[in-house]
Amino acid sequence: MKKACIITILLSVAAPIWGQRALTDIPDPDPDYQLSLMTPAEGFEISLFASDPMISNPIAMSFDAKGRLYVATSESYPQIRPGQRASDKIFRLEDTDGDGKADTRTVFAEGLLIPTAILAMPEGVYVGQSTELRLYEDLDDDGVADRDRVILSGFGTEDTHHLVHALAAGPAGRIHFNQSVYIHSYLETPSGLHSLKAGGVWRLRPETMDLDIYTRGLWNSWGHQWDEWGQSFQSDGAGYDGLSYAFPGAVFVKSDGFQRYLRGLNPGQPKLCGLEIVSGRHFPESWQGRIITCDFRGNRIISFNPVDAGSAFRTPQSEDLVTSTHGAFRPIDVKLGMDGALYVADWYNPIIQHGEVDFRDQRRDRSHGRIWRIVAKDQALVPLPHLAEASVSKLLEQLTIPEASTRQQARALLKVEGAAAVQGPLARWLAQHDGSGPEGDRARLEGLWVLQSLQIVDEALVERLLDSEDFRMRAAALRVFEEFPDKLASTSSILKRAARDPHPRVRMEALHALRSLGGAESAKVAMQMHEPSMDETFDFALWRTMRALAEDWIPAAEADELFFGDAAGRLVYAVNSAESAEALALLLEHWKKGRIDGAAREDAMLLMCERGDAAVLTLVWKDILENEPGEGSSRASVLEALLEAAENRKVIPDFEQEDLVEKIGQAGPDVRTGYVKLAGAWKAEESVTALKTIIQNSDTKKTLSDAAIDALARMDSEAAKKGLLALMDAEQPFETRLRAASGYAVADPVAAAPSVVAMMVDAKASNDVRELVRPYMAKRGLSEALARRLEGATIGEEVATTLLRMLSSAPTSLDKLETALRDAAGIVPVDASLSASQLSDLIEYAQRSGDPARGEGIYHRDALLCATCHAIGGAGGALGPDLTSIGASAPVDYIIESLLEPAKKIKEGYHVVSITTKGGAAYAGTVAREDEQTVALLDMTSQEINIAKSDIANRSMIPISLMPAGLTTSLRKDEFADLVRFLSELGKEGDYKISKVPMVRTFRYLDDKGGDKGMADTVRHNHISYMATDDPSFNWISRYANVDGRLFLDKIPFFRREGGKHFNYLRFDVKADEAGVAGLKFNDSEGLRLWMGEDEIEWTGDLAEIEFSEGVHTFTVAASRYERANRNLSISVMDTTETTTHIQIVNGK
Amino acid sequence: MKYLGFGFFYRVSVYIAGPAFVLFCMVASPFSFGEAIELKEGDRVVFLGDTFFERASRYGHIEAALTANWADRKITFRNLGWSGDGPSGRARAFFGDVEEGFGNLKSQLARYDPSVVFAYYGAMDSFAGEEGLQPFMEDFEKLLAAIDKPGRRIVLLTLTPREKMAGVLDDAASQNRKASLFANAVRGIGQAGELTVIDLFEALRKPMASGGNQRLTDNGVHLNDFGYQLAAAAILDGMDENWRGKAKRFRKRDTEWVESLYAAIEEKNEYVFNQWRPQNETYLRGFRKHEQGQNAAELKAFDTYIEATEAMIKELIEAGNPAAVLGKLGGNSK
Repeated sequence: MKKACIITILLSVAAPIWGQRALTDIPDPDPDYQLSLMTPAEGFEISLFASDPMISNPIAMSFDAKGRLYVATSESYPQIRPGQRASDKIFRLEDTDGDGKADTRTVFAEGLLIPTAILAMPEGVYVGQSTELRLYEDLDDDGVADRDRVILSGFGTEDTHHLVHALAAGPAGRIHFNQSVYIHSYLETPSGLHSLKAGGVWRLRPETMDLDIYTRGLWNSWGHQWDEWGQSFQSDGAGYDGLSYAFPGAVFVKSDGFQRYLRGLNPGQPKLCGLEIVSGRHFPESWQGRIITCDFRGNRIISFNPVDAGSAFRTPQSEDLVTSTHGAFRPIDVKLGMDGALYVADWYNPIIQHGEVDFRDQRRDRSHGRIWRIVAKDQALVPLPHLAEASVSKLLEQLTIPEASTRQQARALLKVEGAAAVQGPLARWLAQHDGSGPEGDRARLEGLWVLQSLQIVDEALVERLLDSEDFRMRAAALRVFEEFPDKLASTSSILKRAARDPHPRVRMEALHALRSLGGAESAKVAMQMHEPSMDETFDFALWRTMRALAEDWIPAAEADELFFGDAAGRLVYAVNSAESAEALALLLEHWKKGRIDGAAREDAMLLMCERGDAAVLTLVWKDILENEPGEGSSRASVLEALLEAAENRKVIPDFEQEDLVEKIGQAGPDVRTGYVKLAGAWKAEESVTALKTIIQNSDTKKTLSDAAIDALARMDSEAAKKGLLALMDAEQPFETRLRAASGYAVADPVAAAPSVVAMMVDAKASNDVRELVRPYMAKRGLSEALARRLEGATIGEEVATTLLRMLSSAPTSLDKLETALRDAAGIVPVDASLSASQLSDLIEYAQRSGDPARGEGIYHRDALLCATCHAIGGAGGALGPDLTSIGASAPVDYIIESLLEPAKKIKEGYHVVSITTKGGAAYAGTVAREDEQTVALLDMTSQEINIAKSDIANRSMIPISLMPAGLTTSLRKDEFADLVRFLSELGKEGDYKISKVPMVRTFRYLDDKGGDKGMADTVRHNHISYMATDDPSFNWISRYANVDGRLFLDKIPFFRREGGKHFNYLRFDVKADEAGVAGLKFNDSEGLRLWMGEDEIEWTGDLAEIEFSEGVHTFTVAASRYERANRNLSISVMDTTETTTHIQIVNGK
Repeated sequence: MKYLGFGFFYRVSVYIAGPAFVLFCMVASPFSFGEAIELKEGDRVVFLGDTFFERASRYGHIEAALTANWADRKITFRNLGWSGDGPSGRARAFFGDVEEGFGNLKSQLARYDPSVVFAYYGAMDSFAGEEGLQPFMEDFEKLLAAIDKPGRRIVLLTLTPREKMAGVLDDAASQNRKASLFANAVRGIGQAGELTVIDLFEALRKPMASGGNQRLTDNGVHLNDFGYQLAAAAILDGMDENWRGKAKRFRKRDTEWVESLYAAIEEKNEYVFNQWRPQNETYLRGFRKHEQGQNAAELKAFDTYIEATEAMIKELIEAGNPAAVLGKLGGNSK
């Protein structure tokens, strides 16, 4: 055995002196010291508003109308101890002398169990704690609540930090609050039971107890706030998509009950907590409208700049407001005060979270906590408005001031005054603000919201706003119908008008209202907004609407075949949304009558494949045989859909085998593979000869011959098995033999065992042998049979290591096969456990001697597989958690233990599900996708395994990690320390923080196939522009840039050209939201050539301004080794004055 | 409990399908029927149900009433109410399906192995009206069959009626029509199984409908402090016809002592809640228990505190003035 083992090296380290104390890396809690490590943005100052012992561990905060700050705190987080009474507190803080520091504190409420949400409203202070939402009232306003009651109860107890949070007042009289992914809630209300079994935003009108769900999904959303036009945004504290644009009915990742969801606006972002939108006279003009949120892991407060984009938004990241190198600074809530300053709740804790780190870890802070205050230098604060004593007319005056949070308070106070007191003065006030410009619009919108909060819809006001030139005002006006569709007789005609609005956001708001209004007519109006090209958010809203209204429109469309007009695409779209058998029947009716034509035909066929039974699939197959595909569409996707129907739903059409054989023989290259795959899935034995011909033809592309071998393997017939055996003949190329043996193992694992062993013996490190052994993982008996066959065999160490890694994530113990593999390769197992003292030594060593720069190089070594499964800034695999801010969030001991013993700590969403099928096969992996019919597991080789739900006998969650143990055993001790140091720097302030600017992080380089001569010749003899073509012999391999975006060109293969010059060839993908110009900036353009598709791009300087069409574009870069002195390459997105579209770098695996 | 047979549901259907139900009162209260039931020395009482019992834990009246009425006996109480639950156990399912919720309900009950179970269900199921009746009754039958065992007494409570509340619950009459179907169903189930039924629906209907100056609910559905007082009195009415008499024997007002008793009951219930329904379930006993499951051992340690508080309650009740509690509930007002 050649491998060095870090554990044995560790044991040789000198005996520990300070033991466990090394684990307590606790920063000095002195507020002045903490302040000294904070860097505010240019032009800002940060100071302490309140600190321990006045408060400790603040979780959430809220200002009341008198400007006093209510702070929910918890010392008992994350888990109350036996015998401990609930003793957490709500404090009320007040700055009575206006010096920017809290000077008065009362204990407003106590005896709470981990209060996670707070909202001060005129009727009292809402608090989310334990399984309840409660209301505390302070009748004499002495700062101590006099009575309280439960408003809602029945929130789940699955996870403390997923319970009720982000309480927020909506613009029109409802309160909102969030729960997160683990929580399963059953809430009793006077109108019935409401349940939500995952994350989402609840919406409550307290005076009627009307409750509904505003948005669904997100892992753990702790921020939610509205902009000036009533559009809201959420942040996610456990996802990696940054912000999300929230609207009624929106669905985000991991929802209860929806497969389809909207991605967030900032893929690859660190986790975020809290959310505030800047408005008001105190913050500088350039900050107005920005979204401020907290990268609590990275100890910083960051900002985003929302920009309208079609029906939705994009939110490019902007300046950091505050950065810090103090590891206990945990900003988690941000709120603008009435004085215009920004207040920050600093939970203050070196340890965050409670999944990975023990509940009782002594490093958890239970006594400190801060509220910070950020002000703009040399900028006057806003004078306090004295709302609480104000009359109705004074409150109305406040509705024109620039501070949105103060306007919110004023509207809430007006609601308390009641309709009788408010309506008259409001009408007079609106008459005084009757201008047609932005000021008049603002007054009207505020008035509309006040009336909505009083459950009144004023038609004239809505009509005036719909006449606004500002689409945001028109959109805002429609939202009132989403809550009160029935209040006006004219709702329907108003929405019809809005459905023709030139702006998609306005039309989308009409969709929300139509969904709420219901009825077939609403569905018809909604479908009139359908266009062949809709942006993703609009498309989602339309789909959601048609789905919600399915029961209304299906009977209408049955009765009137022209219900959606004569465009077949609309009918297909509606049916696709409805997901019901009746809808499919409707489609078939139209199909049989020949009413579906043009581009809609392919969509209809896909839908039929997705949902139809054998008879419906037979219609599809008949169409394939009888008709040519329509213009612009291809059979390939339909064949793929037929394949999925066979694999996932076990549905196949009635078909004549000879038809399929004929198709295999005659089909063009784009679809031939599809027919070949169907031959396997449909077990068309008559195609065996045709498949063998394909495989034996030396001109056949590898993808096609692989498909043919796989088809034979699935055929389950003697003729097919014979075919496979012939392909395993020693005269065949090794890759063919390997594929055939893998197939044979699937078809007949027992008979194939000797051949499988023979292949393992012959395999080299570069061969992927996993498919050979996978069939033996399904059953213990099979694995043992293979183990017996391995006796006496000798296989390569790399081959065995790859297989052992795969076996380590098997759902059942395959110890005999593991032992046999180790014996065959001479591998000795290592014990990865560390004692406490070894661990503390290692931490100390990593911190003292580890070099993060070297560590980053080690991270990218192929042998360690880090980037295969983990992403940093969105670049890398998705099998394991994203590591963007791991260093800022996880203590070093956690990182080390996770490297050595991955199964000890497993992040949410990465738990391994074990599935046993009725056929006895067993699979394990994380759930990649799931719908009603199938589960897709991602196994540890990132292979997606589709399992039909009807096949599942047993499904359970198992406590193993897909990360194989021992990945780092090949490292020397210093290398291990470097790697740990690199990981522990990730996300912290410094060199290993992901930049705000989007960069190319996932490159693909051209592989030289180990110096393959044919490959070298192809490159040398073709024109350089040939490198931009899709020659199938090119093998492009992912390579990830460093955290700072640099790719080291010397670490990837280069190729010689005719004339002796050497070049690296690289690719990356860019997605343009719409057609237009956008810029790519190079760190250095010297010696670079660039192609978009096959078109070469010309540019000067370092900024290339490129004309994009909508969609994803592949770029090819040629970097001359001699003409380019700079051996690094980095490419970022740059907005210029010429920019007319938004582009995203497609990073990922 | 005398039934367990197949086809129970159909027998119940016969009972409730008739135009009116027939009461065979064996106890004095007009709002209860079935065999009179009293609490005995050593009884372990479990409250099973939805928000009605979950919030009762905080108000304390029902438990204080039962404790005070049988002050000479050692009786323990565990409140396993869970907001939003139904007899199917749906709200207790965590990440699983309803079946798992039902399994959890059974094991939660088994953990305390009660000798007496008070079951209250139907408040939310009743919104479904007639359509929801059959699944509700099937679930209830399944529940009763699962929790029935020799020596265990089961008391059924009908759901509380709806109180009209402007803006919040305007349709009290129509909701109560639906609710009465479910109250009727529970009565039928009780009769078929020869179980004691305490008819909260009838007992609270009159005070609610009378529109007196005191409201019984927070929101038309969920009882407030006064509502729970009346519910506690109704429960005692159904169990012991003499309790109002006992209350009269002690005219002394003893507010401070009553408060200390209620405080002790609340403290005990808090420990019980944090033990049987702890936060971070996923990490302690769920699919992430490999991470924090070591801390689940702490849950057992709550027993010490629960028992100590129960001893304190016992001491309080022995040294104090139990009839003052009964008096507070209105016993001496009649």
